[in-house]
Amino acid sequence: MLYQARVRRDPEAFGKIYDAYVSRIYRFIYFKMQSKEEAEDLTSETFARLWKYLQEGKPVKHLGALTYQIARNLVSDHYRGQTDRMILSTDAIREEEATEPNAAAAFDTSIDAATLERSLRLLKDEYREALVLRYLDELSPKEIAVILGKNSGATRVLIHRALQALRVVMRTPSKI
Amino acid sequence: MTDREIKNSLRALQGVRGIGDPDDAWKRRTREQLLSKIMQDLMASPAAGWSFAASEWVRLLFPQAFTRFVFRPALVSVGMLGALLGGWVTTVSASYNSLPGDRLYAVKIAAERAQANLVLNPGDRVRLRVEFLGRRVEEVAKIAERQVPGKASKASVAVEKMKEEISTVQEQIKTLKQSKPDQAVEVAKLVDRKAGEFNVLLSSSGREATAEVQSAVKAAKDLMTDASVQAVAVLVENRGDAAVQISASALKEKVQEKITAVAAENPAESVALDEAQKRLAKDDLAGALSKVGEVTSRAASSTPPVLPLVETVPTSANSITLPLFGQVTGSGTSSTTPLPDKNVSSTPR
Repeated sequence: MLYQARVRRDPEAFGKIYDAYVSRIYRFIYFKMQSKEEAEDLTSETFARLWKYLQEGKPVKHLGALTYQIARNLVSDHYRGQTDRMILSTDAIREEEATEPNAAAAFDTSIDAATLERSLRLLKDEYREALVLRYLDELSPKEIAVILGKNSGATRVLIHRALQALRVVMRTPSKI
Repeated sequence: MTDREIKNSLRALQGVRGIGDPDDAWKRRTREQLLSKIMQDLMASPAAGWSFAASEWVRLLFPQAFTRFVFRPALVSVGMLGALLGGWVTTVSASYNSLPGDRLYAVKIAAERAQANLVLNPGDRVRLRVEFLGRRVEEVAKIAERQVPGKASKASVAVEKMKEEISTVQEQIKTLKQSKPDQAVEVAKLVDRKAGEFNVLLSSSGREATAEVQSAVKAAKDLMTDASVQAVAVLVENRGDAAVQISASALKEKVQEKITAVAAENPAESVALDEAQKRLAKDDLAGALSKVGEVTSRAASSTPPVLPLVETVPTSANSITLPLFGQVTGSGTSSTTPLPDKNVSSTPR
């Protein structure tokens, strides 16, 4: 697919790359943004930039890592341009969506999805990013290390600490 | 609440619409928009070349580490051996007549660089560089005379190469002055003599050419004049040295020639050149050359910008930085250093 997209410039091959990564990238961005719309916009922009990058002929070592890296840079650019960022958002609309019957059925554990989302948002960026990549996107610590620019050991420690931090937040309902 | 429960809950978020999973309609819509934009881009730009496809195949067939540490070095070694043993002489000979923009031009420059690096004596090395400078001048002249595609851009690239060569010669003379002043004087004489020849060659070139090409030739002439003035400045500075072997009157005459020649090319600079003339009348050769040098430096630094030989491709996705995968960086071009403003002898070149 990568060869087809880069060399043959095959839009359909790029479409397959899009299909493979769109949900993960959306999730990755979603937990960094204040709204679903912002996450959608940046996800779409990520793929536009990815195509552009592939057409420049630069070497691509790991397509997944590259895509996350572009998304990460776009989020950084987005926040750099914002001065009035709300740190903790408890968007009512999002809460409704998260707890709609269909979603609730899929969420079969004892922890409420909206609570978990709010808890995640209370974590610092680095922790939230590590947990999303590890447990929602199910990437290996090695892959996460490439995306975050750390070594595997440091990434494992980061995930462990992030999990501990999440547990602390969830045990303190007043914070959520 | 155990770690396992938290992990399971996080995994379960994947399927929660709006949180872990984007809306299907949005995914479809975005996909269509993206592919439609790509199709438009493709219609507007040509397909990738065969060399890109070949390098991509190598990348796909061999692991990155193998390519980087084994394949690429081996390929480079074999290529170098092949070039050195088999086709070196042929290639270099064939490249001898190449011009900027030709495929073999890079070979010509690389061969010259290798040749210069093999010369141990610094004086001989500068002489060799002067010879190369002659080649650059010939290239400008040939481009101006011939009917070649992209003539204006090739001419401006050739002038830029010439500028680099002059800069190298001047730098090396400067170094030579510290270590072997007598040789520096010899080379300065050579540069002065050759500059005259080169200017004659350039003057007879490109008379029928377009304004852009003529402007490139003019820039080349300005650069040569500046280089010759700086060469004479070296002679003036070392006039007490036995190696100069030019009498005071002959040297004065030489400075007078420079003033006259520069005045003919730069009629608007009469004030500075009158001042040079006054200084010369007072036997202040260095002062006179300094004023002339100001004029030639100004003329040389107003060289028109280099026109691109090929269309440049954007190298990065706007403001995004991709530290994992590296970025392409551009490199500047060297330029001639202007003459000292005040006194030639106080800041020798």
